[in-house]
Amino acid sequence: MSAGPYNYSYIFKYIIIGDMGVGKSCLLHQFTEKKFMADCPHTIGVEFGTRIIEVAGQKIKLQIWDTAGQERFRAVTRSYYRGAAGALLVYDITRRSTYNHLSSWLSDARNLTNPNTVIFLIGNKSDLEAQRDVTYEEAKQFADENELLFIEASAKTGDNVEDAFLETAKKIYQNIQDGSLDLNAAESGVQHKPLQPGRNQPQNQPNPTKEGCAC
Amino acid sequence: MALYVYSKSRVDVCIPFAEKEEDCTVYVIKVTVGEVWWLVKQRYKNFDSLHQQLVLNHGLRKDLLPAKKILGNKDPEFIERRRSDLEIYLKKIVQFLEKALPLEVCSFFEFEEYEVYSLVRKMAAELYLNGETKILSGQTISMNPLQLHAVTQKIQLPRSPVEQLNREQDFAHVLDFLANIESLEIVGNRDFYRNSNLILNSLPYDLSAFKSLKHLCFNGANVSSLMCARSLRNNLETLSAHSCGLKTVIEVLVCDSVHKNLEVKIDSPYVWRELISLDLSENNLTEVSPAAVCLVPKLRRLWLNCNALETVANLSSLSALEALNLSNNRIRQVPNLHTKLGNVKSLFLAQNRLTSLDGLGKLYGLVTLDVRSNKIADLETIRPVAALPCLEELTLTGNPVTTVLDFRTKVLTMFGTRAGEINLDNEKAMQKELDTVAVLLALSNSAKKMVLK
Ligand SMILES: Nc1nc2c(ncn2[C@@H]2O[C@H](COP(=O)(O)OP(=O)(O)OP(=O)(O)O)[C@@H](O)[C@H]2O)c(=O)[nH]1
Ligand SMILES: [Mg+2]
Repeated sequence: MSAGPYNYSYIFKYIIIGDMGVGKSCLLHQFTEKKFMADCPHTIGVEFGTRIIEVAGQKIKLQIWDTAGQERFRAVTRSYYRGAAGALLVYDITRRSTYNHLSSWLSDARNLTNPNTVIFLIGNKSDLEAQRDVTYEEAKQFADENELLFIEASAKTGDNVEDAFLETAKKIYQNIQDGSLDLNAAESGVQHKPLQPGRNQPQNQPNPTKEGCAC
Repeated sequence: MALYVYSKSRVDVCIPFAEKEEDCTVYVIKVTVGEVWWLVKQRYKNFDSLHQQLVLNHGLRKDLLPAKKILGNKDPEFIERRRSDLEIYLKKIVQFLEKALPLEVCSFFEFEEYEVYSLVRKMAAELYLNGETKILSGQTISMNPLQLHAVTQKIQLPRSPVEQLNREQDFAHVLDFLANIESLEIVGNRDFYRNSNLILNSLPYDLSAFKSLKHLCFNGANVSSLMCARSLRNNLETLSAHSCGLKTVIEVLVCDSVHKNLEVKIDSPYVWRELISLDLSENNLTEVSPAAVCLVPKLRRLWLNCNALETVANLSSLSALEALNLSNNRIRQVPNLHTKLGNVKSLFLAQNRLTSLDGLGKLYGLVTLDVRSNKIADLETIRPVAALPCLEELTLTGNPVTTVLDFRTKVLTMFGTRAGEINLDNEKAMQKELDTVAVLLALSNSAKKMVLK
């Protein structure tokens, strides 16, 4: 197989988190469809998108979970942290409150993801310079203090959107290369492409079916 | 449908009765989760193997299950006692384990047929194996409202610990698959689903996860179960609804709105911008309203066969319409049809009650006309279509007129010099027929000249 949605060798899982209305779904849409969705409805629960990218000559499928920012879906959002290799933490540069909530999002992310999860801070809506409420420097300092990657982007113009998703993937790929991320661990958020029947023999993948409840 | 949420939901079980099946006793278990209940049939040996697993994996006491009995196990009194003992047993294990029902218990109760999490997990595991193959084959994917409803619900629910641990059962497999489907058929059902109190056609769902959908077909489904068609309106190319009991076209086009009385507006938010083909055959349509027509501005193909239409009206604003199928309706007359529809190339009016083709004489773009099995008896009423400059195929079989002596040559003669180009009743004119036509034409020409002189 050469083209289409199944030509890749790795899967990386991402989640996108942050207050409601900061533009999470628009960022995902811009990244997967290269379009801006002006009348985007609030996300109910989660949304899902994929795109195949290339890092160091490797085709990687990004599986992206876009979560709802609304408080009433917090339990749903929290359940998706586990097993994410990358987390995009988004605030809106024109709304200070969304920036102020970052520390609470960050502590959720740190508590619920694994220690190797790459967290990327995105200051979205950079096209609205006139309404800016959070300076670049201030956010950059926050990112440095918390060891986050950081960029300002615009889901509307597409500015820096690719970079945010791709830089995250590069960092994850590095972590695999230097051995700090284990491809076979169930919760690493990275894996080889699942092998389909009729192709090569499936490799030994952990199948922990014994435990767990049914809910 | 049923929803069993970890540590929150109540599950009730009872065994109302036992019955004979292929000489074995089966115990009919009624499982109730919330408002939903269903029946599961299990034999004693299945209870036994369930229990062994529970003892092994969940530390249940061995003697909890009523003991085996080899002899006399068909005695009605014994069966009744065992029924009641097994019921007590099930109630106990559910009580012990309700907060986190083990997978073994869930599958014993057939949760994967009726319960959101279990059903989605089963779908995920199947798609993990064959999802890619299915997508690559490009085939139409059939799903029922239960599956669609489960996915719609699941999107709004926290992930369960089980799916976090099992890669094969990851919800991502489902969403990834759905996002790549181009052609979907929704197969509904009006009856109770299996042995439950669920009715598939009463379960709502949306299709927001279907990001590549181009072709959608409802089959025996309830179109108003689709809660939101917003994204479909910008992408769908083909929409079909068969056996859905539709009375109006608008019912399906604004399936997601409670208000079906729309104003006629081109810029309505309900416009299907890319829709090229609409197939509503096999319903109870009695009319096509002007409002409906406005919602499908790009339509090229409209199939309304097998309905209860009596007239053809309101189709003239479908400027791109090329093919129209009105076969198997109750149409008696089609006066001045060119004023009621645009420049169609193919028109199917088979199995109606037409007695004449008079009204078709100005459909100058017509290439194919099928009027088989109508009530056309008079040869002269066919003459108007013989003058249509582009007509290539004309099907008249099954009309009384076809029994007229020399029917074929008489009709072909009407086409004059074009007789050789016409496919009449699926057959091109034979040389012999063309010779006869030539003679008849020559005769009538000379007759005309005589008159002129
Ligand atoms: N000017 C501008 N507007 C944006 C940008 N990104 C998003 N928006 C607008 O912001 C609003 C919210 O965007 P969403 O993507 O729905 O926000 P969200 O974070 O997904 O919100 P929830 O789903 O409720 O959590 C929409 O009206 C977008 O049009 C941007 O980069 N620039
Ligand atoms: Mg959103």
